[in-house]
Amino acid sequence: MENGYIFIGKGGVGKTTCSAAMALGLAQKGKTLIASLDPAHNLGDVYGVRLSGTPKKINQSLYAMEVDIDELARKYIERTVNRIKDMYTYLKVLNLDKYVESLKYSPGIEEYSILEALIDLFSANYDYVILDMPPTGLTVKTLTLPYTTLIWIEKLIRLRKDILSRRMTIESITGKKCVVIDGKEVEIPVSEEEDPIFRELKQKKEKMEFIKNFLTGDKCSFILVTNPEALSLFEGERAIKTLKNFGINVSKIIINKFVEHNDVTKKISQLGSTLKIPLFDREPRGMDELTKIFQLVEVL
Amino acid sequence: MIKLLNNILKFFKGIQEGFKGKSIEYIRIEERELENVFSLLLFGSYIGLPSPPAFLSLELLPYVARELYILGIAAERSDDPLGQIAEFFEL
Amino acid sequence: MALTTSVIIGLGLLIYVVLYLTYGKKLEREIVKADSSRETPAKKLYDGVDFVPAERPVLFGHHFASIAGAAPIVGPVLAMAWGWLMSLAWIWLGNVLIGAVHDYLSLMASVRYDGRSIQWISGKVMSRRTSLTFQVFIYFVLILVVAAFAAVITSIFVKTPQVATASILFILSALVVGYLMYRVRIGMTPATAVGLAMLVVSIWLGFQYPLSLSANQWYGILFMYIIIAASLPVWILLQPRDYLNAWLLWFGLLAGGLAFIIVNKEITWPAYTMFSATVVGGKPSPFWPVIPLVIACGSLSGFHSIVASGTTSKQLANELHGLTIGYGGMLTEGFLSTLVVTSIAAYGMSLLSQAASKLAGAGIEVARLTDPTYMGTTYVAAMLNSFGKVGIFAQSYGMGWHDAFGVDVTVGAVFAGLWVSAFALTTLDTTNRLARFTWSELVEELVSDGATKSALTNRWVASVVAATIGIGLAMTGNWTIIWPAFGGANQMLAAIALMTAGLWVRNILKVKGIMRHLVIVPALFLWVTVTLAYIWFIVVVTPSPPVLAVVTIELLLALMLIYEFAVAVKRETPEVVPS
Repeated sequence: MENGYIFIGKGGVGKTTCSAAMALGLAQKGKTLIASLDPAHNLGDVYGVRLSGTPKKINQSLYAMEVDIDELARKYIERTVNRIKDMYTYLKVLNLDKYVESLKYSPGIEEYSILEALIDLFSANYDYVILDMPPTGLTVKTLTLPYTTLIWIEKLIRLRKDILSRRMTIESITGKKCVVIDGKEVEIPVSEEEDPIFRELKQKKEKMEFIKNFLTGDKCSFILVTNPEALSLFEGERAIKTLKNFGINVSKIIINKFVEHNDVTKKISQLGSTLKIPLFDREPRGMDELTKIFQLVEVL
Repeated sequence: MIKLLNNILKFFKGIQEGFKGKSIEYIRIEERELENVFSLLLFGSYIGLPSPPAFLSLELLPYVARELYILGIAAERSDDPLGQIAEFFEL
Repeated sequence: MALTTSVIIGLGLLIYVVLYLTYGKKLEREIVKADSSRETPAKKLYDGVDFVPAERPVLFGHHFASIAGAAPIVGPVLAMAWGWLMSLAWIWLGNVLIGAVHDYLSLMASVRYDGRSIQWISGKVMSRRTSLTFQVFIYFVLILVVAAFAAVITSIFVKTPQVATASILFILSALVVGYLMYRVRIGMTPATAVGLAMLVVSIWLGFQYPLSLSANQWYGILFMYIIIAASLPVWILLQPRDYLNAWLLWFGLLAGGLAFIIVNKEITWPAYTMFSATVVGGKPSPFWPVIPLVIACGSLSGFHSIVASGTTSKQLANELHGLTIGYGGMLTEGFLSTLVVTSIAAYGMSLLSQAASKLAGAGIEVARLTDPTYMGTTYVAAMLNSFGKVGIFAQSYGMGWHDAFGVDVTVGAVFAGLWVSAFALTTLDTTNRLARFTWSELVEELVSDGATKSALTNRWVASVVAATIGIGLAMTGNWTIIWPAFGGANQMLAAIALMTAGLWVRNILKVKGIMRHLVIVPALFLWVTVTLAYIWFIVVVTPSPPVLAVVTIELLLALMLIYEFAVAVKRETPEVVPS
């Protein structure tokens, strides 16, 4: 993939319209995929096409899709639960049904599912990938997830190393221990190679580092879409600041539905390089109208 | 006669095992405590402790059956702190 | 037949074995009703970590090494003031009728309560207040034991500088063994071989280069040692120390036993000096009720109930093993104390004669020591002025080795000195770690201000506070008062444990008739003894304010305890039925 563009912003500011227009423009330069991860999907409406979870060809080099986050999260949990079921057949302690219910509501599963989707999309075979993200709150949490996760993973890896080192010491003296729980023999891993937990932690670490480096790297650009109003400004400010702390730079700000310069627009302009898109009589729909916008957006 | 010798041999073997046990007693305790900390870090959210992103705990869940079992027992025994630290008493 | 060391040792062994087979078995059969088919928690709650069934000799070795420390040696040395027979009377009878019973029942009660500590059980069969009282006594013991042992170690180092060097080299050996065994992992046998070799070299080098420092200098060094040692990960120092200590213990016990049997030396020490020999704080101390405070470990020790119910009970594979491990373990410790008494009884007199000029300077006439009454009143002073708190044992042990194996007296003496100080130093380490834990608990309860709380519960603060109190008390206090004060706290723990066991036997096991008296009577006897000892302490000994405060609190708690006990007895029906 050559470049990725991630559109963030408050709900209703026109992210979908702008990203859709840009996708149209980029499609002239190379094979482009635009994916909407906003739970309130508008991408299909903007293109005037019914979209689904698999990429649909819009024109010869443009593909579009709407990702169902809930479905992603559900599938993720289902996969995890099935893995647990396999390994816990001998453990009567867990009442799995009730446990699954609470799993669904675990905080952070949504964000993680989005992150996994991100990785899949950016690894797909396209020249350009554009993402229309969910509202700012969820997006920022998602984008900063690799950073916070890595801190935890470091801790857990260090702790795990301490545990394994002591196990190895004990085994070197008492010989291999054989533990039986509830009638089934349980292996107690002693080295980093044979410890599935250590392997998982290392894998997750690599995954998170990959995504972190990608998001903060050159190939990925962030575009904040705002409206010329105070709430939009505040949220935008916060988002930019937070992301900056995590090494993510918002490169461009689009002031959508622009009417005239005022205090708010001036303040927005101070946040970074801006592009103004005028307020149209009615919402742009369909390819022709989008083309008008993309000419403006082409500057990007 | 053979039985007596066997018993004496068993006795000495037992003493040797005793020495082995003595040589790693505290390390065992440390390891046990570290494992408890690990389990708490992963699943502490159930008792209000800050915990790592849920997906980490979830994906490690299949491998920590034994740890959960032990955590369960430890939780049950939390009203008997002396029972947990008794091994440190040496007078 | 002359009265010799072999006779005494033989007699001690005989009494222990016979009573184990008769009295012990009776307890097992008719009170505990040990059943090999009943699943122990080690099997029932098996988790591969704490609950792991261990084979009987393994668990025995483990339990014994945990309960045998420096205390079974130090106590009897002091008790010789009353005469060797009096000391042995307590070590033999007190052990089989009270001490070993205490250990055994604590163990079995814990086994029946799925490996829960005796403190927890006391909370259930007596009252929650009792469980908290238990905690308070533990705090007191932790504070006092540091003071008592620090003074003993310093005394050994000052009187026998060879031991000081050997101890420092012992630490070095432990560091090397720790590194080889736990980091490089060369295997237990090679690492042990290295360790034992280094031990021998340490002792030898101790002879060549004795290190003479003043008591205060040693106290300073000890203070720093405690802080540093207790902050290290266990594999570096504490674990290898503990392991090497086990070797010292077994070797010392076997070599000593063998030596004193071979040597068959005649006893020259008075069997009985006087009822109120001068022991505690320079005051005439009545044998009863003071003896349990002087000889704790070796005959009866509350701390054993913690070890038995904290760890051993979780590893018992079969209920029938309990007698060997609990009852038998305590008897074996009694054997150790018997050895101590025997060695001083045989060689003590001649040792004191050798120190005649030194003692004369302190106003003690060695020649008169053959007079029991004079011995009774002057022994402690003579001991402290000549060989120090444990020295007279170390020296007599050395003489035993000399007469039996032909080695120089100093060899055995230095070995014995190293043996005691090695155990005492390990205790200082673990106690400081425990004290950090209990200190944090106290601060949690008493301090509300967040900033103060976090400052106080800082690991180093807790460590320093505990070490300062302990060393401070050792430096400023009278050791002949601190030692029995430690014993007093320890024995009230034993009383609580025995009372708990008694109630368990009576209310839960529903044992009727004379059998349950075998538990309740010793429990009450113990309570009466220790309470009277507290009163005597306060009134006659008049200790310094900190010790006085501690003993006063203990006395008040003791009174509350008997009330709780009475209430529990009246209650008849148990609060909690064990699973």
